[in-house]
Amino acid sequence: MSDFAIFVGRFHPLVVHLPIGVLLVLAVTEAVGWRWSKLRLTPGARTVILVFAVVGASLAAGCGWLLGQQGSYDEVLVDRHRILGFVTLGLTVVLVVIQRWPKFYGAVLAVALGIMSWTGHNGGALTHGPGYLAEHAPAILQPLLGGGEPGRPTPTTLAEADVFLDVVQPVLNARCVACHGESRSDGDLRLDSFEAIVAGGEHGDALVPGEPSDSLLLRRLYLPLDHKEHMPPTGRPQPTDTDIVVLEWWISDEAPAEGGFMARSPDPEVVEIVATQLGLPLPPIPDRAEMLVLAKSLEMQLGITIRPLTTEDPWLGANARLAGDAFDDDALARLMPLAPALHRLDLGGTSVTDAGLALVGEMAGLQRLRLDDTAITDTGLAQLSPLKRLVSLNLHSTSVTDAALEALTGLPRLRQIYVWQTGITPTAVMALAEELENRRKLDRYRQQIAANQRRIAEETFRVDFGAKPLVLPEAPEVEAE
Amino acid sequence: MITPQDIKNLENHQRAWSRRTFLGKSAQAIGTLALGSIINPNLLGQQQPWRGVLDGPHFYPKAKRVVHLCMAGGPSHVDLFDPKPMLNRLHGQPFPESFTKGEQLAQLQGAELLARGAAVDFRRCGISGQMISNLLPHTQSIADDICVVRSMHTEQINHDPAHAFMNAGSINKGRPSMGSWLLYGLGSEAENLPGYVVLVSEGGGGAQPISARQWSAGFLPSKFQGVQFQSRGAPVHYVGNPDGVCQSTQRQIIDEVARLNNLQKEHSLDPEIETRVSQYELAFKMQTSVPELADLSEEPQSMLDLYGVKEAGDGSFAANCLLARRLLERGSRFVQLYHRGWDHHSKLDQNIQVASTLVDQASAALVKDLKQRGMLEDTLVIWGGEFGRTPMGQGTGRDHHINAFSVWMAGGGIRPGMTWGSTDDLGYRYLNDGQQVHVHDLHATMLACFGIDHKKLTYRYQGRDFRLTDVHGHVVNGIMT
Repeated sequence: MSDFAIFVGRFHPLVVHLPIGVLLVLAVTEAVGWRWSKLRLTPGARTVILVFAVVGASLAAGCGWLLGQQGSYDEVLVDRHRILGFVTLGLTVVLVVIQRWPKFYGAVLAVALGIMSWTGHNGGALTHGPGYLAEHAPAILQPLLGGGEPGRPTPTTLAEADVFLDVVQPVLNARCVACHGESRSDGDLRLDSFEAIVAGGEHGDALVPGEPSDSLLLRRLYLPLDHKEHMPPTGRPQPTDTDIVVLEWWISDEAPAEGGFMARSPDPEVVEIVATQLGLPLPPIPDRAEMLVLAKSLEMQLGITIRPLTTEDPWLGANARLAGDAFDDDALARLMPLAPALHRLDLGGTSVTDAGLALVGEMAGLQRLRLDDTAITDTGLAQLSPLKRLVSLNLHSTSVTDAALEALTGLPRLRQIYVWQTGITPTAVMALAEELENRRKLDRYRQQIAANQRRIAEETFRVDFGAKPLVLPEAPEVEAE
Repeated sequence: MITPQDIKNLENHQRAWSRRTFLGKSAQAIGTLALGSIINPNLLGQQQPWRGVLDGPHFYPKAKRVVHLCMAGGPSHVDLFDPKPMLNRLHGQPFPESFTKGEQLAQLQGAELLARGAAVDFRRCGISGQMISNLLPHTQSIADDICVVRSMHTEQINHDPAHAFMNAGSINKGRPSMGSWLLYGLGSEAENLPGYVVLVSEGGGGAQPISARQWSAGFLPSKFQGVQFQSRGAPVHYVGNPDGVCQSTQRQIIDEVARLNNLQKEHSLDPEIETRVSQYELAFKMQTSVPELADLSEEPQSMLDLYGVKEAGDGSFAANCLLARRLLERGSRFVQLYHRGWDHHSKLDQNIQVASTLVDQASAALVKDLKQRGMLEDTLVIWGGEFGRTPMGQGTGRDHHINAFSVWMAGGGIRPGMTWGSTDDLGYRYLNDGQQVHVHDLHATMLACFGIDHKKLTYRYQGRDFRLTDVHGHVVNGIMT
């Protein structure tokens, strides 16, 4: 397939509208002439129009043939479109021949119009994906428009949302699947299912879990808009900043195929974006008064202190060290109702074990955690990987080893780890520090790219129109510490 | 537990029993008292721990405990933390009159003023390159963990009022000390030990007496006052039961006394009754907690060596530091260690050497130990005297000096490895360069580390809202993280 053939082929969407318009005008004029004889076409004029239609249809069919050879389309659809296109062309030729016999002429014209509409719709399906009409149609009309299988029902709470189907796939559907889907898969890449993404395309793997900057899926988005390989191509709807944030988050969180969205303890920023996209309320903040009543009664029962961290927020800091050995995994389990509000937890010197750390792993808001002088081991520590907000982790005087640090590389905010009197070696700590620092650097660079792209967009707008785009004020970010 | 309502009742009580009100409105006062006991059913209830009047700090707290290493007598800033080459050059020559004209001096008033250079050399220390005197080699080793404030100044030129000012922000009797304010505002986490503990050591010459009013609760209920532990021998005398009295008998006695006290409280609403009940309870708990606290057998020899402790309970500053760390671990809010031995009016060269040797190693060890245990991130360490010493000589020593002195702080919320503020070329006066730190500013900053807005922690007494910083104080944001 030579480049020139493709070049010509790509005129198909342009040329194809020529015969469509001509045939439509012809049909309307004939209908009007049939009612009012004064407005009837002269035979000469009809011949000119019909010949013009034949020429247009031939050109469109020719270009279409070349384009269809390219092979990145769904074969069944292309074949059908091709056959229907040539039938339309054939019928136009027939019309030229039988224009003197009005009885047949009218009927054939009607059939030609019908076939032509069907062909057009088929072409639309090729470009925009099947069911493109149904996608945004009112629910009642959807089955009529070939919506096919009903889409996934929108989840009613964030907790129900699936990390891939409800969070990632909708972004891909909106921006990518038209060209990388069932009916058309440019670059031999499909992005309409998890399996297809993992399978990759002709340029290799689209996805490297855990490494957004190595994943082709995102690299193509990061490229400047005028770069040849930027995706989606110029003129196509571009992903928004929030789309990119969601994809980045998904890939850096090891690109899970399924599972609850909230169970991954996403950043508040991501939660907010997803909640907005799905039209769902944000997860509720724990009620302060309720938490304090609970905290006071637990304080007395367990012999520990649980105090509010500020006057206004529900966030709590609990100190179980005071209870010493008497505080065990069962006592820890009784703290679980407070889990959504706990930001600081001191379990130092208590008798909690690895089993208890599974519960600690569910306290997603924890920022400071002290486990020093306890019986925990590497196995237990591995369960702390959901604690994405953890800033400080105290492990001194425990039997943890270098292996434990492995589980901590995924904690982006970790700043302090206390490892005095443990089996952890300085080398391992330095390696972890470097790993965390590198990840932070990547985050920073990504933010810089996003900021620069925004700046480019703004500046382009200013150069094109000589005015600044209207920027809506952003809601102030609210986050403790 | 005392609620804001109780506090109002206490105020009512105060108002009710003042002479003027008593004569004028005795009937109404009695009515108020009766009402108070009706609406406070929990006046007879179980003793609950005092959770602080604030219901949580005003903003996210960095620190949750303080250890104040008070160098009583006034260490010489120009010999320890504030190198002055110009002063060394002027050594032995008349001190420029432009500095001292019309200034208040203590014992040097009217005497001939001669400049006195530093006794020893200074060295740049750590990565931060802070200048610290060779008198404090161990403090030099923690240079990157501490923040040296050179621009401190106070208003009181004699020991007792200067200590009062440093503790309570006022020399008027009856003002609560900063430890009492913290207990009043936030309560203590320690249920079995006092929340505010004072220990005193001496050595280095010029040991001025320390009055117990320095840790008084002033007009706050006296259960918030500091409790002085003995630094020599057992921290608290007579904690064991007399022969023939077992712990359960002791419990019965305490319960009965509490019942009788509560009966009395119903009638008189005197806050001191509540204090008495809670002190009995605390004393009972301390019968077991204090021997455990003072038992250093679980501390390895390496730990004793780190602090330089020769023998537990030998009355040394080192032993006090180790005890302080154990108190902080057990939840005490405020630990104050006075070292009496810095009033070097004469024989400065020898005496400052002695005093420095006595406190240097243990002070640094405390910071290192807190750091390796991960406690430094929420423990505020303050090291400094009640004032400084003159850059002018007084025979073989230096006189009291209020216009400039140095303190260092570390941990909870303080930016490490920096020097803040400066003095003039001769170390006579702080520079008014926006980095000056008055004692009130120190108090405001300390409260800010605890998440407390110093303007909002108030206590109404005699018709006026009092606070630790009175009507002054600016938070020194530059030294906070």
